[in-house]
Amino acid sequence: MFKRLRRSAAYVWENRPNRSTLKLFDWPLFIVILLVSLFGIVCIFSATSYEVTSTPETIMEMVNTQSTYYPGQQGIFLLVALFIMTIVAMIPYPIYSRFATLLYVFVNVLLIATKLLAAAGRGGMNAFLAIGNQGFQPSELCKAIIIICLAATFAKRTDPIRKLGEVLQMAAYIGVPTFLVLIQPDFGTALVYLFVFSIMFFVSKTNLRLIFIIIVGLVLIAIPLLYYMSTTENFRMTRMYMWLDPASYPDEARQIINAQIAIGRGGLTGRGIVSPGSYASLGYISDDHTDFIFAVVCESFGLVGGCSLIAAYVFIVARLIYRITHTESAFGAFIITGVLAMYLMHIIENICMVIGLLPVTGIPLPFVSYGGSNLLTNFIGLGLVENVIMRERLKKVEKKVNTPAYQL
Amino acid sequence: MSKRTSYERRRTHLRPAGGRMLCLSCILLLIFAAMFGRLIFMISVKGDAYIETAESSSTKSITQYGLRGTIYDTNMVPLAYSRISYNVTFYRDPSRSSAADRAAYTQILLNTIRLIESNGKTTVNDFWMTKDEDGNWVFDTGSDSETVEATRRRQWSGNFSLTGVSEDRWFDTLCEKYSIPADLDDSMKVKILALWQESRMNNYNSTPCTIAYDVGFETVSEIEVRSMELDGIAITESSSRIYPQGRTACHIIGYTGRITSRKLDDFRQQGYPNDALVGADGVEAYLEDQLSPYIQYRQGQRVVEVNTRGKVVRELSYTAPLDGNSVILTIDVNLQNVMVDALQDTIDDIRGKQETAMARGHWQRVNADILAEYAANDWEISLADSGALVAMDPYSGRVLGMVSLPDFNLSYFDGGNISMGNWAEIAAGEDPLYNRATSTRDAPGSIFKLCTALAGLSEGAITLDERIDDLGAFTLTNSVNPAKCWTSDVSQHQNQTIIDGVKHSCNFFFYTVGYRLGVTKIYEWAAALGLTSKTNIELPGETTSFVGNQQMLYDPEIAVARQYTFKPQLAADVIRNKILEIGEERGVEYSEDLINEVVGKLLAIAVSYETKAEWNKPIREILLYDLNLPLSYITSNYLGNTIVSYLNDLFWTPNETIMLAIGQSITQVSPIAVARYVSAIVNSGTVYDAQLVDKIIAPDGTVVLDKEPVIANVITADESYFAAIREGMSEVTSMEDGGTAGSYFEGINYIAAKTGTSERTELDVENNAWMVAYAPLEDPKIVVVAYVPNGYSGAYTSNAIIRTINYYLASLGYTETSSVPSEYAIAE
Repeated sequence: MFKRLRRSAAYVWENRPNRSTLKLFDWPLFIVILLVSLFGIVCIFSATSYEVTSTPETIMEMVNTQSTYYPGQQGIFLLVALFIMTIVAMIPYPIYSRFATLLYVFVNVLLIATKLLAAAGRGGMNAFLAIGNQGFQPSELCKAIIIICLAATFAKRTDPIRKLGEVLQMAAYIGVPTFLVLIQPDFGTALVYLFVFSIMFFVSKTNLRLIFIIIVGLVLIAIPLLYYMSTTENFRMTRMYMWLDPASYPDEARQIINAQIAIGRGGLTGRGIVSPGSYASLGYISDDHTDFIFAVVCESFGLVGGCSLIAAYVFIVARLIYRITHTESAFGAFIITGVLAMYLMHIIENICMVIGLLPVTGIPLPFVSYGGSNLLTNFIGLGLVENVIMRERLKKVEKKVNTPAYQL
Repeated sequence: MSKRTSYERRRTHLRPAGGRMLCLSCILLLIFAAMFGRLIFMISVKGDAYIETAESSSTKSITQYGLRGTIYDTNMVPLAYSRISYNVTFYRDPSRSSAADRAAYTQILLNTIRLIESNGKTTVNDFWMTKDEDGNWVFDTGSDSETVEATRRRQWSGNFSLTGVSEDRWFDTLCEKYSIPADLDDSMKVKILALWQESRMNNYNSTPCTIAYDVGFETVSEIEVRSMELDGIAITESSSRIYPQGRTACHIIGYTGRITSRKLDDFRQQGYPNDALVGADGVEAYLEDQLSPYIQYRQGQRVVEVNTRGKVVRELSYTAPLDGNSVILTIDVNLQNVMVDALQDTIDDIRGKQETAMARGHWQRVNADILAEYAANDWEISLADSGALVAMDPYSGRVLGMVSLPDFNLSYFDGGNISMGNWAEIAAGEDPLYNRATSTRDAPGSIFKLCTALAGLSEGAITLDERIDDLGAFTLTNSVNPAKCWTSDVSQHQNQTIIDGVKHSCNFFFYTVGYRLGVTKIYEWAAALGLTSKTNIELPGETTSFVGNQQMLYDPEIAVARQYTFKPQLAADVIRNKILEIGEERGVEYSEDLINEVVGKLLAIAVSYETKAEWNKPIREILLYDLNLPLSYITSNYLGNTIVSYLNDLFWTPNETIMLAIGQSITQVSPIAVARYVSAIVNSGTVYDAQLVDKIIAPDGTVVLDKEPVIANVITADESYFAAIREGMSEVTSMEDGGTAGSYFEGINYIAAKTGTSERTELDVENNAWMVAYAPLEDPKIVVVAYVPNGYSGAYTSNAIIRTINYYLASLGYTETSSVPSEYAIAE
């Protein structure tokens, strides 16, 4: 054990990034994400503003008259996240695969501990552990770790999954942490775990017929489950109904209705961040600084703001897909795939629920929603991605350098 | 050069496949395209709809009301006005419901109560628990109804979450729950709990509840200053109606009250809020549309933005409300005061005279039989205790003053709420809310003779020169029991011209005139003089006067129960009983329909023939064929004669006509109708509508209505006829000429009058007293009508007339020089 650790430490030291490695850092991806994060802080400021009777003249006046608690906190979270991201990016990623099994055990222990230790918080979930006076959500951090575990598991394989037995084995692997998150209960995060798994499962050339059989099987399980849910009082079912027909559930769907009204009111260019009569400042949308921040984005910055943010996400997603196809390392490629899946799940579900395309699930918008744990996790994800990108580029550069000129 | 790990061996390991990535990319492309599309759709297509919804949910319009218009007298003295008042309200934030929050609110309420009380006002203090004799707290809402009490108990204990707690623990539980300091005395605890009750019982509408009404300005400013500390306490503006004149003109002004449930729908349609104060009587009610600030177009609106907790964030728009229009009346407060005193004194005086008369042995002996009948039936002798006095400008119909007694103190209605004690005082009186000047009608007696005189002259029944002697008995219409004049000394009533007839109020004279005229002519002239229609005075509940004729006695077109007099009802009842009696005797059961039909047919006979002699045949036919009675039964029981005797009262006989001519019969007139009738005699033929409203003024001062006199009818009759009647009236007040009221107008020769004493019962003290008068003789300025039910004799009201006229003429600048008869009036 110690021998292994010592060897690993030596490996990390030998492969520490130097100046030339830092040059290989994917700056466009990082800068776009950093801009989105800063934009997020502005949106949090807008979402947590007090009602005003007129728009403040200057930014200083705005800041002086409004609460800066939430944006300030988010700023601190961002700095911490950048620091952690740097560390994650510097440690050569192949080392993570060595500890995949250990990390997997750690994830499950952490989730069990959370379930046992955490006090019941918002919505009756015991998902937060207290660290000082800050709440920390272990299931968020576990997303990043699970990506590593899954990537290692898939990358270890030499052949695509062809048999149902293999599927069940994989399903059991992802099933344990998913179950532990579900009983917190945190349906949203559990969905993210499953989604990450599903994307890796899909892209790893798993037999299409097998996928089809699994889908059919899931549908067959889902039908009686849905029937049971529809006959009993169930808030998840209510969320389905109110997604299909919000007008019939004016009380339950108040949040979503008001969010959509706020989007509609934003118009082309928005009402500005601190504007009289904005839904953000009047408190008409609960959770408007966390899960429903996209409504504030649209109300404050209008169609232009909303579309720009989506465009930024499209850029991030496209960049990651490009990087997956250009990564030679299987483990590295699967890590990027996992991070991509995590981002996708959050982006798509969050925006779609706010604009009424999907039912409501408590999932934050990456880099924009208020929340330290989620921001940290997303930057850890970015750290992993940059880690892979840097070292892939380094390999290419080294190959070029080590290849005798006559072989070129 | 790093060491390669086993994972980095390319190609041999499973890695994301290009095809699958492409496939994934395509799916993502679709998803992001859908997002863009949806966002663009939401903002560009549905944006307007969203904005509309947003405006309706985040904004609230608060209706604003102005002040109710002021009612002034003719000299702009306010009779009723509204002023802004401030109420204190308490609003409990529904999200603050912990024990600590309740304790904080209790402290706030305690501080507020102390603040309000230190400024001399009180908070709402209606708590539904009281201490009984044994010192136990018991539930008691003060309602007499068991069901109301039970419903309130259920709601109350539910709202206070006391279900499951026994009643004897309620008070202590509440004190504990609301953290009421134990060292307070019980009365303060009750005060605090009363406010909590106010809040809890209004839970459902989550609006602030009023905890103190009409607080002073010190309280308002103090609460504003301490607003941070007094969380939930606020000031709202309201208005209070004030009646500064006490009893004066109370019937004319009227009062305001909450909308009655019967009229709620009507008012709501006009945009009134449910708790609006509306005019309930008098000008307040009649001119509700003018005075009220609640009419839709007068309402203002404040549109505000509210946050999710309902707190007002900012004002988006404000439309100022309009106040109600103000009304200037034709009456003069000072004249009203003179009139009310004069009438009260007159009533007291008449009562004294009645009591003196009744105490006399002679009176007791003369009326012994009647008094015995009264005693046997336990009837009380009605004496003067009420009356009406109306003063009118004869040349416009403007009411100069109008008094009805008994009256009431209008200031009891200040603020729109009358206390139980004050209401009990009003209810205990003899109908003080009833306006006897416009809503009462009664037999006019001799004051009707002016009408008979004018009709007689105009129709040629008598000429100005013709002289008629009082022959005692008037035998032309009833030779068996002939009518006579009121005088016992007919020698005084000889050789009378029309002027003398009026002066003497000679019944024989007017019997003669009336007999010659016939009922139709008399009725036509009475109608022309406005005695059969409303005066359209601007007050609710005016009664319509009517003058006797066959149709008024019994009109077959109208249901029996709705006839002008009760006579048809009486006749119908006795006939019905007779038929039932016959049926019982003969063992036949007549159906209800048959009885109704027969009664109807029999009553119709009374109005279908010229003479009573023709009645027998149809009566007999009805009895024979409709009731199937054998002829022998009819004759042996004298049924024909019995029915005739029942119908007699419904048949208009010539004798009724001569009674009509002297103002008896079934004629009933109201004091206000008499006022304009006399005015028409005074102004030689113009019948005006009575007018109480002079001007209506908008809040900005523009005159909305400057009311001109309304002419109801113009009589074309020779001026000399009117002059003759007026001459007669002037002699009525003349001692030398021997007028009926001469002795009461001694030394006063600028007033002309006519007395009226209509008989109600066989007791003279119960006679109704009327008197109509005008002054001065040349160029009359005022007509006064006095009416005292059970007033003994018309002439006894002279004093009220004289005082009214004297004050009014003096106010116009006439100098009263009654010692020099020829110079009674000096115009300025």
